[in-house]
Amino acid sequence: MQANAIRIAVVVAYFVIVLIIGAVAYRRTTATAEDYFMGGRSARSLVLFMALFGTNITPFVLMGIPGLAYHHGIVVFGHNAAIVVLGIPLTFWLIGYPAWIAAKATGSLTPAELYAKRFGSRRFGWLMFAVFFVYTVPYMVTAVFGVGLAVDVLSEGQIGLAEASAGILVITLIYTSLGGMRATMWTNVFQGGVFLGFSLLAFVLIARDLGGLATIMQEVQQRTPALFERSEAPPFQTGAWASWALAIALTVIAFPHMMVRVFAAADPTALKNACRFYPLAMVLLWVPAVLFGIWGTVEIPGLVGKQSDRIFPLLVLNHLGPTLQGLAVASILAAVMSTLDAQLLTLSSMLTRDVLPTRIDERMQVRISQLFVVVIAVITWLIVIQEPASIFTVASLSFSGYVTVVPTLLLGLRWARFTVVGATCSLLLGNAVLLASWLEWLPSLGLLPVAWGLMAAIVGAVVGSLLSRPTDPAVAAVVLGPLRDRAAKIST
Amino acid sequence: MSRRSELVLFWVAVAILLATHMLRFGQAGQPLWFGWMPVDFGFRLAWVAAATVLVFWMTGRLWPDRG
Repeated sequence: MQANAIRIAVVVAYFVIVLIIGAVAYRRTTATAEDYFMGGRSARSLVLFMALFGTNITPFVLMGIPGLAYHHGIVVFGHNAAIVVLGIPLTFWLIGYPAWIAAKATGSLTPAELYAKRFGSRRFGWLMFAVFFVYTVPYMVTAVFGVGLAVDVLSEGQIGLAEASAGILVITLIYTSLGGMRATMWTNVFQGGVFLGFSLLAFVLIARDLGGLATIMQEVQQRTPALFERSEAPPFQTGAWASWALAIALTVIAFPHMMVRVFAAADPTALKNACRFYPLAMVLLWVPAVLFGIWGTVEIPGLVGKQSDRIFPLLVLNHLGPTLQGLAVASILAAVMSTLDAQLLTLSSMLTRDVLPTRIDERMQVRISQLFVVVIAVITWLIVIQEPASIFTVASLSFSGYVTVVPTLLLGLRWARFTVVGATCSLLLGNAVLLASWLEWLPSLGLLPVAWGLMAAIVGAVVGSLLSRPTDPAVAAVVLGPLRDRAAKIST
Repeated sequence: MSRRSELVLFWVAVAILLATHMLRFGQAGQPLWFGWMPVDFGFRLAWVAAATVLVFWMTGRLWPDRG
């Protein structure tokens, strides 16, 4: 009982700090849409990086990846972690930077708003919102489900999945709906620090408790040598490996909550510094996650299927004291909340900016957005308590869906001949093929559904654009004009 | 070196790195490197180091500075 009180005290302390940061941000936020949704576009290097990185830290990494490594071993690191170190900075440069220029020049607050302006079509903004909504809700479900599982394990069943997930949604709702983007970015700096700090501390302490890094790794090699071998199991054959590399490298820039944070950068230097910080941060994030899963096979063998998603909290329970167990819950909460807040805010901002009538004034937009955040949170909770499939499976569906948006994001900024018909064909065809492939209605030929969805999206974009009338140059110039001006300025 | 040549060189380096991402190594009963590091893990960390060099090249020289 005393152990539980200590754990709860640590978690309450974490919540109090987050709410204080949210309250300070709320006092600094004015009632304009630009300030509420974009934090005044003032994020400098550290805040921007932590906000972007916080969006990468999810239960997919903390719970799903150890769960996957438990079954498949060291191959999981190469399968997921390495490629994003290159993929994220490259896509920030190729898509994020021109999107930042265009969003700032046009006053756009969401990706759907920017691309609707690019084509002079508000209906296209609705389509983008629909696609983003469809893939973001399952991703949010994985986040909340992950924290529910962790709390369930670490409270030894005293706080169930439904209560834990409801609690985290309520706290996130409070500071997100009140403080907007500024609150989410400031809290992300703290949350990222808590998460990374705990993750590294747990890595050192659990390794030491297991006899040291060399001892535990050699024991794994002795007991389950297959965990260090080249795997040819279903997710790791050559075609699937290449497809997944594509998915995980491209998906991040297509997260609408990530793109919105790119828009919030104060200047290009902040964006470039965020790219420079990524490699080290990703290693610090992923190495412990994969090794926790591998070590778990020695400590708690025999977990089957999605039971392995519990391996990280189980290790914490076995090896750390109640204070650190409380910190574990806080770090998982931090991981979830740093993503969940951005997702809630972005979906609500897209609804108010891209779907509702434009005549609504900015104060009313903010109020409607706050209400919509609550509705999304309730929908998420209702799905979570149904206990969906494994975290990795649900997240991979969302990642694959986001990848079908990448051709539109890229070509919309870099190909003047790209039309609204091409963009619409790209989204519809890409998602139709992705769905058909996911349901195994199409032969896979060794590739994952994401590869087929991406190829279909590219074909739809190019063929649809070439077969349709070019966009009125005056309309396209609203977005492409600032990009041309910037290129001309740099070349002089 | 002109900017165009440097860009070509950069993308060639990216392509090579992406190709090497497809390589995978098994332990095949060999001892772990340094007593704890599986071969594939060591290869991935080296790959990440190479990717980091490319990221600094990209942000330092290829990404225009004027905002």
